[in-house]
Amino acid sequence: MTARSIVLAVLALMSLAAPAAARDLDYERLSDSLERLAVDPRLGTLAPMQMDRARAALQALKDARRSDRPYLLYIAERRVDIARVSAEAELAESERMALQRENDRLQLEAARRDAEQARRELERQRLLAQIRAEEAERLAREAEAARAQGEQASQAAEAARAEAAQAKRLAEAQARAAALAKKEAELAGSIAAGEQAKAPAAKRSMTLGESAFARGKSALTAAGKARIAGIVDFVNAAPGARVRIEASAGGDSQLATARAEAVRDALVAAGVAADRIAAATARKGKGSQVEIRLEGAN
Amino acid sequence: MATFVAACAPTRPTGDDLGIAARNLAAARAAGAETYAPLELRAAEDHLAQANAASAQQDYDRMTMLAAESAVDSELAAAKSRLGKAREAVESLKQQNADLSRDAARHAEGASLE
Repeated sequence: MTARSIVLAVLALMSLAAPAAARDLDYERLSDSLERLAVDPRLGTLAPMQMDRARAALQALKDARRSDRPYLLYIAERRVDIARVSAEAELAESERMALQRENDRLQLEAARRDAEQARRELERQRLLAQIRAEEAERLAREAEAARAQGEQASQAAEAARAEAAQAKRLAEAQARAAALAKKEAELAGSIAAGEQAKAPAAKRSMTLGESAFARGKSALTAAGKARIAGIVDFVNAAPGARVRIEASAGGDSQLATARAEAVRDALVAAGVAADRIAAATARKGKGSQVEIRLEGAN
Repeated sequence: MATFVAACAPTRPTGDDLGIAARNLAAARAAGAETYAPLELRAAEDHLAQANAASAQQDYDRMTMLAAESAVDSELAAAKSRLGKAREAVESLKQQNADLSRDAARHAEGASLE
């Protein structure tokens, strides 16, 4: 074997080995990808059927004739992708189911919460309704009481009106009585005033006229003596008063004094205390009369 | 001679490769592949169309390979659709559960204050 033949042999071997190395690279790339998927802690156990189909496709690629290689490489690449995507889809689906269970739990919790809230609201509304009913009942009772009270008040008002009318009538009667009393008092007053006006004259002095004495004499006539009893009553009616006797006899003071003393003596004789007689004197004047006048206390 | 020609004509495969590919494509569409795996769906459609063309040309070997490629395209599209939907559901549920947990915590806090 010449050196040339050896080189040709090596080149021939290399020409055969080169496609095999390219095939191996694609296969290894896909095989590594599938292997990583298989050992992935999250995805490794998922989509087992697609994993098997991917392995079968890889095996077919490995065993492929040169003419079938592009087609089988395409199929193998798709199968590895399908295995990976299917595993991820299963994982996502599993996660979705877990989240759905959590969602169901939370929804149930919310529903229970809402139900509890609704129950509380219902209870609150029931209490409110009860309170309103009690309030309405209370108001009704109050209204009834007010109505009854109104009737009573009306009756009381009526009674009060009647009483007021009665009082008015009474007041009018009293007013009339008062007016009458006033009038009576006034009349009584006026009568008393009249009497009082007259009394001093009547009571404070009395007069014996000329007829009580004999003409030119101091002796009392029968008529004069008859008057003495009245004068005694007059004097005794005012026991504390002093008695002054003043006489006039047409300018004759002597006769006048004698007539005054004659009356004094008659009074003393009739029982009038002598010391009550302050004086028995004559006074100036043309008239002829004897005045018996009371002085001091009534 | 005619018998010889007929004996040498390409033999149609007995398997239903085109039917399988078409059903897988329909399943991928039903799974929402237009939304979740549009590229894979397009590849499946193209491969199926080419497979049908190969079948029309009586190139059955090519038809078989293209139909198989379309079928795995559709399988991948369907798997990606399942994954996309599952992930969306996961995200939605996470949000819902967070809201519900927050409501529960707020309610518990409110109840403790009463």
